[in-house]
Amino acid sequence: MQTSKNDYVIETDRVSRSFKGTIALNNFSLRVPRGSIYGFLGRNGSGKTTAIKILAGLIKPSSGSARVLGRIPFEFTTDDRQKIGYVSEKQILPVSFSVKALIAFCAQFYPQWDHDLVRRLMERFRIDPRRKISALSQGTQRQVAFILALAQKPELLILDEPASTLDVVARREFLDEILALVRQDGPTVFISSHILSDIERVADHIGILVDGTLKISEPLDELSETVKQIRFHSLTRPVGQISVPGAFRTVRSENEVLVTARIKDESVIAQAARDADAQYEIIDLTLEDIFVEISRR
Amino acid sequence: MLWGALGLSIVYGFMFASELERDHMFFLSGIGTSGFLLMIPFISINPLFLHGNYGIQGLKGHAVNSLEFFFSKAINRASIFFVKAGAYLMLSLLPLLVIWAYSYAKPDIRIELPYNTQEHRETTKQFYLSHFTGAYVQKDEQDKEGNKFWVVLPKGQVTCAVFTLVWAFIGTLLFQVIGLGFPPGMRWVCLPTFFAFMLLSNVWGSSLKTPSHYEVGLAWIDQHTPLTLLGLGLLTILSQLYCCRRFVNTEITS
Repeated sequence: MQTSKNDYVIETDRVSRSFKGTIALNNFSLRVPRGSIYGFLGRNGSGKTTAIKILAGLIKPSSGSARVLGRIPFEFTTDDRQKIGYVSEKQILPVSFSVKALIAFCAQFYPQWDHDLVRRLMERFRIDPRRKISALSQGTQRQVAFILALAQKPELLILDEPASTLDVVARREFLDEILALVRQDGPTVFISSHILSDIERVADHIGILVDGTLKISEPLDELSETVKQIRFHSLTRPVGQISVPGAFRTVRSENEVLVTARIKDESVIAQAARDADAQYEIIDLTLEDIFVEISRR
Repeated sequence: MLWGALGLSIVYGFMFASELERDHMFFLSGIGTSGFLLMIPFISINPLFLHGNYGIQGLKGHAVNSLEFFFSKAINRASIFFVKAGAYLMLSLLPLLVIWAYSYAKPDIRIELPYNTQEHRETTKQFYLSHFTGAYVQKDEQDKEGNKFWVVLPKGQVTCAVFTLVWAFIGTLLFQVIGLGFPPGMRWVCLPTFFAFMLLSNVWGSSLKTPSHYEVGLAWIDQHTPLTLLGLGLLTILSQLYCCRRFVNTEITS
C-alpha cells in the first residue's frame, strides 16, 4: 500500500545531537505511523531520552530534520502543543501546587480538556486532589502527570519511561488506560520503556535504538516473524565459516554457531548451512530476546 | 523565600531613604555608597529568580524539571518569561522607587564647599551653580574666618535618587542579561563581574577633585531627567526582549 506523508505522525531524517563532543544521537531516522502504539526501546545511554526530547520540542537537533504532526518540534506553537501530550522520564511537577490546583491550572490551556476523564482516573488511581504535589510519592506524581497528558485529548502521546516508578498493579492500570484510550480516541502513542513485557503487551510497532542509531523500526508482528535465531551445529566437526546476510549477532562455540538475523528467505539459511557442512534449526525469539541480541555490543 | 527577599528589599530601601535626611557630602562621595548599597538585596533576589524561573541549563533539580513540565504544556513561553521577569523587576525596583518617592519629602541638599584652596573652592562652586538647576550659594554658619559656604541644590536629593535608580537598575538588568545570555558554563562570571563593576564604580566615582565623575553624572541627570528615564525604559525593553528570546530558546538538557 502506498503510504502518504500525512500517515506519519513523527518523521525524522538523519537527526544527530551531541553534548560537549559526546554523540547522543547519530543519524536517527524514524517514522511513526498515525494511530500506532510505538514502543521505543534502547539500553541506558542509547539516546532514547535525547530523541524524545527532540520530538517533544525541548531540545534542538545538532543536524538533520524532525517533524512531529508536520511541524518542527522546537518551533511548536501553543496550538501545536495542545495536540501533544508528554510525560517526561524524570517528571517533576511544580511542587507548590495541590493536585487540584495543578489540574485547574493546566485545564485552562486546553480547550478539549476532559474533566470526566480526570475525575475517573483520579478515582481509579486513588489520588486525593487536595494533597500537595510535594506530598505525593514519585509513582503518584507520575500518575498525575499521566492524567494531565491524557486529559488534554492529544493526537500524539509521548511517554518516556512512564511506568518506571510504578508498582505492578499501578503499571497494569496504567497500560490498561493507554489501551482504552487508543481504542476510544485513537491517538498515536510513542512510548519508551525498559519493561519489555509492558511494551510487548501494548505496542504494535517497535523501534530499537543502539548507540544513538535506530537499528530496528517495524511492526511488532513483522519483527517477531522475521527476526530469529539460527543454530548451526555439527556433531562430528567444528562448524565452518557461516555467512548469513543481515545478521545482527553471531556467537561461535566449538560445535555450534548461533546467529541472530532477519530471515526473509529460509533457503538462504539452508544454503549457508550446506556451505558450512552443518545442520541448522530456527529458534523463535521473544521481544526481550530480540532486544538483547540487537542491543548487545 | 520570596517574601523574605521582598521584605529585605523594602528594609534596604527605607534604610537608604532615611539616609537622605542627612546634610552632608555622603551621597556625593561615590557611586558605591549610593547605587550599590541597594544591590545587596538584588543579589539575594537574583538567584531566586534565576534558579527558580529562568531555567538555567546545567542546573539540576526541581527548577529545571518543573520548567520542563511548563515547556511541554501548551503555555506560551514568552508569557511565562514576562510574568516572572515582571515580578523580578518590580521587586528590584521597589526599594529604588521608595527612595525616589521619599526624596520629594526633602528634595534639597546642602553641599559644603571645600576650603583647602580658594581656587578649588571657586571651581567647585561654579560647577554646582552652572550644572544644577536652581542651585544657589548659602552663606550661613560661617566660621570665624567667614569662609564657610554651602551650595544648595533644590532638587539634589531627587537627582541622587534618580541616579541611584538608574545605576542600580542598570546593574540589575546587566546581572539578568548575564544570567540568561551567557553560555551555561560561563554563568559563574555573574557574581565576580558584579563585584568588579561595583568596585570599579567606587573608584571611578570617588574622585577627590571636583567635579568627580559621579557629580558630572548627577549634573547630567539633573538637566536631562526625562531623557535619562526614557533611556532606562528603552534599555529595559531591549534587555527584556533579549532575555525573553534567550528564555524561549532554552533547551531542557538536564
